[in-house]
Amino acid sequence: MINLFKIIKKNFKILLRSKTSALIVIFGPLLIIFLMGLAFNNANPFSIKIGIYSESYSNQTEEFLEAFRAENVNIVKFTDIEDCIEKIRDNDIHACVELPATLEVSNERKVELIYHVDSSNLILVDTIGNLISKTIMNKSSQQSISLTNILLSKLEETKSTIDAQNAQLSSLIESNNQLKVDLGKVITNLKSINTEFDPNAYNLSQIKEKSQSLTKAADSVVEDTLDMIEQLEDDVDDFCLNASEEQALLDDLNDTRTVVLVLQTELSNNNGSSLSRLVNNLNTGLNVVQSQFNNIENTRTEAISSLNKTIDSISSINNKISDIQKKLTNLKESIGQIKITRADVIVSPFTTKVNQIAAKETYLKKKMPSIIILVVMFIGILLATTLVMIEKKSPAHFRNYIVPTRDITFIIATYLTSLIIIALQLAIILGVSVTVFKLNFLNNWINICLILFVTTSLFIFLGMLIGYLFKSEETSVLAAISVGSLLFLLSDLLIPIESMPLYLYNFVKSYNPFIIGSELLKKSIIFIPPTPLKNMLNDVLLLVIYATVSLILVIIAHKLIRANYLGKLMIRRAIRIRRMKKVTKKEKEQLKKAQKEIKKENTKKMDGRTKAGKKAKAEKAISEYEKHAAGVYLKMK
Amino acid sequence: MSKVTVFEVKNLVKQFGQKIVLDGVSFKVEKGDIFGVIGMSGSGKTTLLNTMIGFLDPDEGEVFYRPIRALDNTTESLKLVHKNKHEVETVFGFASQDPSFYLQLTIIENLRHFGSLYGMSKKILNSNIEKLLKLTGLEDAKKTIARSLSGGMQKRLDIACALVHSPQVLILDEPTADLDPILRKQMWELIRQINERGTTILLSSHFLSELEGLCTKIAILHNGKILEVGSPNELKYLYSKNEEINLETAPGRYKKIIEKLKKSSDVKIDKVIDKGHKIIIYTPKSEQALHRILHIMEQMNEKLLDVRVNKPSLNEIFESLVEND
Repeated sequence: MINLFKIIKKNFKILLRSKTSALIVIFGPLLIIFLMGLAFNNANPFSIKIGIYSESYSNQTEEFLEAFRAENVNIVKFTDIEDCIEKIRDNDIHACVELPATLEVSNERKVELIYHVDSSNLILVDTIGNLISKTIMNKSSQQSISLTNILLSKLEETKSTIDAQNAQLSSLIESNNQLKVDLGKVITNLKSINTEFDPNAYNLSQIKEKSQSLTKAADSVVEDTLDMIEQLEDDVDDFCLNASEEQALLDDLNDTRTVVLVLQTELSNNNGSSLSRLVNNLNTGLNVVQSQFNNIENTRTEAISSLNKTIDSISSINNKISDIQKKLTNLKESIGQIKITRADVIVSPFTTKVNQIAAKETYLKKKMPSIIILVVMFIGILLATTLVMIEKKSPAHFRNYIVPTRDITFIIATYLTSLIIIALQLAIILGVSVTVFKLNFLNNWINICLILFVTTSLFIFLGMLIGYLFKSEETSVLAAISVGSLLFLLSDLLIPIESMPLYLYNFVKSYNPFIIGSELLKKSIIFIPPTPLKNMLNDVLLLVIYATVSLILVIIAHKLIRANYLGKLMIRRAIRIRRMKKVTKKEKEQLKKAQKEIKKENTKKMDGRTKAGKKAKAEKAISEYEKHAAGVYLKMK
Repeated sequence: MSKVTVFEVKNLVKQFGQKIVLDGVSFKVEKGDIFGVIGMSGSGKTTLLNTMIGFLDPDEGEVFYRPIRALDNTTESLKLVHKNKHEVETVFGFASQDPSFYLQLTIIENLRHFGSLYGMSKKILNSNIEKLLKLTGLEDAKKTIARSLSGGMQKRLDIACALVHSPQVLILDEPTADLDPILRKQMWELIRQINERGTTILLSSHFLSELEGLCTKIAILHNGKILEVGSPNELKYLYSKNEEINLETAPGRYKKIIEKLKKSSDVKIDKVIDKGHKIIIYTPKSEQALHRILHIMEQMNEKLLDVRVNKPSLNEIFESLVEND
């Protein structure tokens, strides 16, 4: 632990000793945030200039211009559309809106507004497009509302008319129904008249036959009676009657015969001809009556049939009236079913009013999560790479291998150094964001800190890995910037990633740690209320997995570098020895020259001098030579 | 009484790829020694030292060290370097040929930093630093940024960093490489002083003549093998066949002297080195050669400034051994 602290302390000293790198690494991101804060901390497009061209600037045109001004847009009027477009090319204005001469709407023509914009400016084109669309949509909505109001009032009128007509139709139906009832009664009455007449019911033939049979029976009775009288007369002798009695009886019988004969005569005189005649006359009369009754029946039947048809017709008419009524009722109901009767709602049923899960914020606040992660990413990668390269390229690298401190301690120290620096930067950035830009940090600080910790760790380990994988400082920094730029370019901060092919979009959105980090932070800072951690757990875990894998790779890379270190050292030494040998040859030549010169001087000096003096001079000369030789050697080095 | 062994190398073999850099190297470093490993560039000196400190693992063989607590207890057995890397790192101090410290830190900051990595208490560390600054002569420059130091001062700082935790053995790899003769002399003096304080020193160098007067023991390393180990005198007496005559005359017409000397039939001259202001003559019969030289000088009216007769230097022994190998 003490070792760890000492290594971190040393890392800080080394970083801070190099003032330039300290300034760039530590204060650079703060400066960026500060400048961005000053530049973009507003929600209005203050700097956007829009050129307006119209053939004639009517009151309606002026209303349009007012609508633009209401959006805090700078408006420049043009009298020539080409001038307007040219100004876009010169970057004097950002867009040009072409208004028609009249803004009146009719069936023959729609009002068409054309806007010209420089599509190469990807970010601005969206902003301007949105701004112009918004303004034009507002105006267009106002017009639509007015037209829709007219339509709605007409519909209301129609509803009232339908009601009135329906009442009249209902009364008509009622009258018809009454008529039907009356006609029904007539039919019933007609039907109640009995027109049945059957002459046979009087049985005239039977009367005739009965009279005839009666006549016959009477004749037969008469005959029988006569026969009986005759018989009796014949049989009187047999009766044992005295003569008187016999005579009396015969007299009686004779009297009876006479009566019977009279009756017979009577009967024969009335033998039925007159009765038949009477019956026949009666029959004829009855037939006439029957014929008359038949005529009456036919007439009644025709009348009933006609009345029934009339009733059917009335029913049919009623049905049709009912149909009309139903249709009118349906029409009314249909009109009545139009529940939305507010013109503004009909014109814009789906407004683009944003629900306040992310309140209207300044540009900086909207992009703050991405900017924070961007700073974390670049500083994390670059700082960790730089620290690893400083360590790798440091002459002290070898000594670290032979001290009784574990490799993992050095790795953790590098990680913690980077983490502390980034934490300090984040503390300042978040502090400024909270106090100046009113960022919602304190409400959800635990989640935000967790996300920042995991994301920062991941990028630090990634940077360390790059540091270990590359040999020179230049290539490692280049690789670090490239990796950071790649992750940045594959995010939606610069270009919308939705414009990518679907498979790439899905991959990048799901696996780009920069996007994941930004999204997590956005959910925790911008959203109201912030997304709970359990809903973001999958993404957080993915970042943790990234960080863990990076750490494992860092440990492996560290071990490999340690294993290869001596080999590199030997190669470096071999190169130096070879270089030294070359230097030594030159050095020898230089030394030889120097020796010759000194020898010559010594020889001159020695001439004519005493032995002791010569020796002293020679020693001095030798000493000078040695100093000279040493000087030559140093120069060569 | 036998000396205490602080480092022992047994049949050490180390190879990089197909190239065998160390081939069965064995020797012992005893307490209080100034043990020199001499060899040409590429002979394996640095590999040997790095294997001894545990920075490289041997392919075969073993390196033993004596723990600090066992310095006065010879009964305790030596321990294997490669199984106790962290402990052995406290036993030795190492200064490589390239200075190893932070150029952005001051002298005292460097010493404090490396001292803290050995887990020393602040009090002991400050005391050590004070002594080291005096010893290395860096006291006045202690607040100077290391980058601004001269080559010699940087070398001394490097040694101070190696000594900051009071190791029992100081290992120096080519300590005088890249230094001019004056600084080399100062460096050897410093090493001698460190040794006098009780620190065993193991060093490698290719300045054989300078090691001769400094080392108590020398191992000659060539092509990864130890050719010989012994004190300078042992080596000299073992291998010398010549003696060397150092001659300085005025005006110093050495070429003529040598010509005349070589013509003498009774004097055998093996080798002559003309150093400009003096010559060194190698001969098996120095007495006869000296008589002859004085005679020639008289004839030539050459004045004698200095003459010395020595046993051959390590240089000659080394050359002889290397040629025979």
